Amino acid sequence: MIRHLRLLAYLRWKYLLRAGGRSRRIGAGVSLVVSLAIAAGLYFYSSATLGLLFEKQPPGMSWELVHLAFAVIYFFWLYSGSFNDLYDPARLASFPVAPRTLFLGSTLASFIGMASIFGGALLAGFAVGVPGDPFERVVRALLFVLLIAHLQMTARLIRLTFLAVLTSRRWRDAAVLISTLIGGGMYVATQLFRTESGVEAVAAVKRFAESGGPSAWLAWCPGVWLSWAYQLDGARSAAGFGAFALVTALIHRAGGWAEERLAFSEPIFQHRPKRDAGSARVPFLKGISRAVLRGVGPAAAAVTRKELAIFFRDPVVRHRVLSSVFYILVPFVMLFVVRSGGAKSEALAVGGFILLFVEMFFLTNIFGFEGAAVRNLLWFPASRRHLFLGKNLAYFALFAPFNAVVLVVLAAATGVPERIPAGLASHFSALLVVFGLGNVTSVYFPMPFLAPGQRVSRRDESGCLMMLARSLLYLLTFALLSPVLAVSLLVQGKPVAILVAFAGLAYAGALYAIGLKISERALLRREEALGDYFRAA
Amino acid sequence: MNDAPRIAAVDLTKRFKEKLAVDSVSFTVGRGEFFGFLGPNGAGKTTTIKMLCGLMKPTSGQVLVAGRDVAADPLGVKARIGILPDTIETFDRLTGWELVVFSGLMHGVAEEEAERRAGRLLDLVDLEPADRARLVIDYSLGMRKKAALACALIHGPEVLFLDEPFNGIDAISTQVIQKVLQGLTAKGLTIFYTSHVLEVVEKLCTRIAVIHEGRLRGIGTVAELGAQAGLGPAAALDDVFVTLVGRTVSQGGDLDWVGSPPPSPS
Repeated sequence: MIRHLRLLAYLRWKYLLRAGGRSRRIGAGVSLVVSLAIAAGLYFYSSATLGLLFEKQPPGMSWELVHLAFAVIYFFWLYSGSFNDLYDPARLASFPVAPRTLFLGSTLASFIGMASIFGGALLAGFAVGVPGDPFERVVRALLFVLLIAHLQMTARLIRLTFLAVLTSRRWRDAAVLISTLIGGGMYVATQLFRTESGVEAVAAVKRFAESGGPSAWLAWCPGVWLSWAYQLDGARSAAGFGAFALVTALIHRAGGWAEERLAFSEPIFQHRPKRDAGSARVPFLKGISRAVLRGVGPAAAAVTRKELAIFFRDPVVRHRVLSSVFYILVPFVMLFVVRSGGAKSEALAVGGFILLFVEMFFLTNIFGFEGAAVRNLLWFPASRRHLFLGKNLAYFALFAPFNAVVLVVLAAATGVPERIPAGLASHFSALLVVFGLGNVTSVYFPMPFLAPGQRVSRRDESGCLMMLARSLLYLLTFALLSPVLAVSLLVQGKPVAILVAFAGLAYAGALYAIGLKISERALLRREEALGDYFRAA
Repeated sequence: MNDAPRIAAVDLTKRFKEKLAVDSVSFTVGRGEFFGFLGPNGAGKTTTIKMLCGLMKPTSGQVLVAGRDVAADPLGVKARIGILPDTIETFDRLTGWELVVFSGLMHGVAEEEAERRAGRLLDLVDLEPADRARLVIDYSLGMRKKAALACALIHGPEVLFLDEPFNGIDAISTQVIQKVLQGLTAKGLTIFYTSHVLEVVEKLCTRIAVIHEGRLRGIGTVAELGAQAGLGPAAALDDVFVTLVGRTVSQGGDLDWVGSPPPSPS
């Protein structure tokens, strides 16, 4: 058993050293330094907070806040604890390793990495911050180590229990959306805490601690059992430790059972695949692609249809779209937050800019969806112009109606409905320029689309140059747009505005045509490079 | 002791809810046999192999591998077998060398001995010294297969399970490995081999079993299978296989557009 535990720890160590590949040692070093800095922050924050707490507040209330902190650490750790693929039962199933050894080994090996850095920092902070003699501090440190081991085991047990469900495509898609919503929700929550309602929330927590709430209401949480033990004050501490140790032993046993089930390919909860809901959207896709088919031929129509299908099914796109919702809400929030009427009227311009900014992500990287499959797309003998047209038409079909609705609603809400025709014409001029330059950017400066938490696996150092070049191209886009925007602003509200706006549309159309020509030629020259880039990414 | 079968499946059955994946399959494989296990996609091959390797529990029936009951002593069986799966999910942030040594250590081989064997095996599968120091993540499919084969052999297994082992490996290395495997069977290693390349199966295997829709359709030498299929002992394995699984092979005559000029691209 010891041999296997040692080998499992060896695996973890090797993976930690080689995260991201050998050529990323500098990156790994930087991330280690950043992690240590965060850990130092955690240490100082927890030790200083606890020190002040026990100095300024009565011990009873201070301990209640410690119990609350343990409950928060408990659930936050379980929420954020990620499954270590290294110890996926399927990978280790062929070795003669006992399931319980595997479970224990994965727990102990998790101390090699972030768990030990952040957990150790918290440990040190709690050991120094809570008053006590050196012996008590050592005992508390050992209890904290037990807490980390318990949390790692519990997190793994939860993941093993739901492994078949969690590794299903449907769940992975859903997880992207859930993490986006949680991330957005946390952002909103932190904003709230800066306001008066945040102050009220802090006062409520204090009242909760004063009334002994954490002990009374969170008595069912194993984290709180351990914080009772941490208190080192007699019978309740002993009972808390006993209960915590018993639960930890049961989790270890259950973990062994779960590992054994999975080693025999028997998931504990089975995922049941359902019929693909995407098929319900086919009439809509067919409708659009039929219109395209009539206009530009079968190849462009096929590309349009493919792009729309991916757009509705790809979890990365859903994540981006959901993330973008927070940006798109900004001009609407402006209407309520900004008090001056003049600034309010700018909500239309801000809205148009934000829409362009958000959609640029898709329009300046139109091969990002394909990724390595771009080679398959380029194997087809279709004209390259039709590939671009197919993709552009798909995005136009998606974004144009949405943008129009947003801008009309904004104009109506800000009391400037007369600006709608000119505003829409200016906006679509800008969109056309972004389409044209986006095609060029997509060929010269491609980027892989990454799901949250996913990292680029390519090993060359051209990433920074690529980002710089992309940024310059963004600037060029705005430079090309500036005549349209400048003239629009000059004639805003005047009868001539509508004529200027449509002249702007013609200008943008010409730029789009030039962009299409450049990108078509560039793609013919760079097909191999593009394929190689995405293959390595 | 030596005459005892290395693999014995008795009424092996696996049911997944309504689907009967493997239905009362029984066979034995002797010491030193190169045994082929054939079947079309979805026939129950992988499920059977998983049950033989202790990676899946049968619904009913019994499996003995290397003289041990797989259900009662799965770790004992895993210590005595080597597995080369079709899809290799392994620890790809180790170098090829580290991976093979790690595999030996996990099976209880002493470190020095594991290193000696790793060197020998990697020479054998023709993985160059420079490649051994590269991370497995950077390997081609063929190199991964070679490293995985070395991992499967490092602890001196009594039974070796090979699933499409030559897929992605170049012709010269394939020849070398085939000869090595045949040599190992002469030393008593039992090989349980699955592949869709019937020529290789016919060339290497001493006996062959054919499974289809979860049931064993035939077992024996190629000549015996020919007789069981009603084609006679001289029949070629591909004809025998198609007959045993009860399929007919379409000539593709209904693809009326093939052969006519393609549409001009837009």
